[in-house]
Amino acid sequence: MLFDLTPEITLDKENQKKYLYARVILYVSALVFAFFAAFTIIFPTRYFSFSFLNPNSKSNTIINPRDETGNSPDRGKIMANNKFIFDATLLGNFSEAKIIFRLNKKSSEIDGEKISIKKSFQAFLYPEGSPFGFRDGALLKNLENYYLVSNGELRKFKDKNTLSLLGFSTESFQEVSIEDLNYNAQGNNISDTSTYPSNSLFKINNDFYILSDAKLTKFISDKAYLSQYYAEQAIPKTADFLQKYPQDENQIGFADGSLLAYGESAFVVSGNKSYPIDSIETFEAMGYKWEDLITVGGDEISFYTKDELLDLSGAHPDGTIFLASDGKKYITENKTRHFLPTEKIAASWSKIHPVEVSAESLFTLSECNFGKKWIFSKTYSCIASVDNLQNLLGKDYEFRTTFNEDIKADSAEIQFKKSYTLSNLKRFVANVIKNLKNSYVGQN
Amino acid sequence: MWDKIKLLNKYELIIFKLLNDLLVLLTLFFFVLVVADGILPGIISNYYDPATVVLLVLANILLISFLEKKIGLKLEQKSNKKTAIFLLFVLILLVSNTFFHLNIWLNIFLTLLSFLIGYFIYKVFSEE
Repeated sequence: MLFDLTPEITLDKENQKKYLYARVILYVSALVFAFFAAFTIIFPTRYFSFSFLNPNSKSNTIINPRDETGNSPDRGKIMANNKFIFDATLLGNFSEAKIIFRLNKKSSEIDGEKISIKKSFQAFLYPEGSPFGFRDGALLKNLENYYLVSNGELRKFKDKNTLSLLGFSTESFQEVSIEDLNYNAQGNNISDTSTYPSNSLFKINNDFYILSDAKLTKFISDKAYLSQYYAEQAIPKTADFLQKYPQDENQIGFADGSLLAYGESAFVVSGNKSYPIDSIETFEAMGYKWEDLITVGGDEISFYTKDELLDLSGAHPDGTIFLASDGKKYITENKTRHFLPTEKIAASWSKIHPVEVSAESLFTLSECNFGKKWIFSKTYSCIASVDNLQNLLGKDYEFRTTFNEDIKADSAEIQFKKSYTLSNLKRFVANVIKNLKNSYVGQN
Repeated sequence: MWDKIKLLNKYELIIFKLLNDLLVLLTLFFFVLVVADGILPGIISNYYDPATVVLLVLANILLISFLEKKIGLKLEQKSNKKTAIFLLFVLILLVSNTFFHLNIWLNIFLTLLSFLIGYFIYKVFSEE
């Protein structure tokens, strides 16, 4: 017999026939399984779930189910007429999303309510707040008028003489338009030459300081200072200047949203926290650029408190700047997205490349209406085509719904499916080739 | 129960032969998984857990050895030199692939070292 693996064992004619049939069935099943396996790899289905009965379980893969104020539903209780929002992180192109809610037996019904889906980055989909003006400490000039941005306010120097008496150099002021100046509130004029206005910057003994709350606060390093300001903005002073103002025991680190490299690890920092990035895949999926990494020493990274690992499902921290495809820039702060109205204002907030996003993400939706599985069922689901979201940048899908009655959910599930099309097959092959190139030829 | 045992007795030779076929198929699947994941990590292991395949192979081997004893077969232990050389070559490629981003000489040194360690471990276990 062909390919007999155990020729030593001879069977009688009848058994030989049975063995042959069984063998054909075995090999055909293996072939079918091989095709099935290839299909599930090329056209995968991705599952996400959340158990409201066990909200802290590590097996929950739906991110942060919440109402509009950010509160998680208590044991699955979702209030009527309140927006209910949750996210899921997914790389790759998928064709449809099936959303399933399993309600508690005592829960009210879902009455055909609609659920909408957006795709982008979680932080870019934060609610929009008021536009931001220039960053504190910015030195600005319009024609013959000179300004310092101090505690968010635009403070005009009384005259050039005041400016030079305080030690500011006219060259360190950035020329801006009147429109640029409209986004900071007007503050008092600077006329007193005996004291420095808040947010003045100094260079003392090769260290950089900022004056805030009448205290001198030191930057942890030159690199930290230069991530926020330019060297020429700082007024050079001698050591005795330190006697004039008390020194703040706290220090200032890098600009929020900066990317730091220490040893083999990369971190994104915000406030006094650092978030270690868990993989190259996450770094790239977050839209960060390798050239923005600032190599730091142990003393610089130890300034930060290490927070949780930033994985694929993580959101960009405060201070991240987004560049939308329509050219508009935004910055995130306290889970709010703020518009940066002009290029010069945006440049005052960050010196690194912004994270690119699609402007259409804010208004392009995919929708479907919930329906019951069967008449007495407490399981509601709907299927939405997400083909229209495929070309949008970002790794996160945001789901929003509003129920007409208070409901009590036991669990929620999402299934993303890839349709069996030639274009999806081509995308898979292209992706494999790209990954091979990245691994063996180098980064493209 | 008795019928089942009788059925097993009646078809134990066929089952034994089929288990051998299954072993080849499972090993082939494991081989494809290891090679594909060695080249592009996660391409299959993200969907199919390699540990499950290993467990299936082990379960299959245990069943074969159980049946072999039950039937009282004394099969000749054959070693296929050509297959062994081919597998060793693939193993060298896979190990050296894991050190791909290192300097070529360091890569060669670490690959040789890995095989030397593997050889000595084999010697220790095969010592009588």
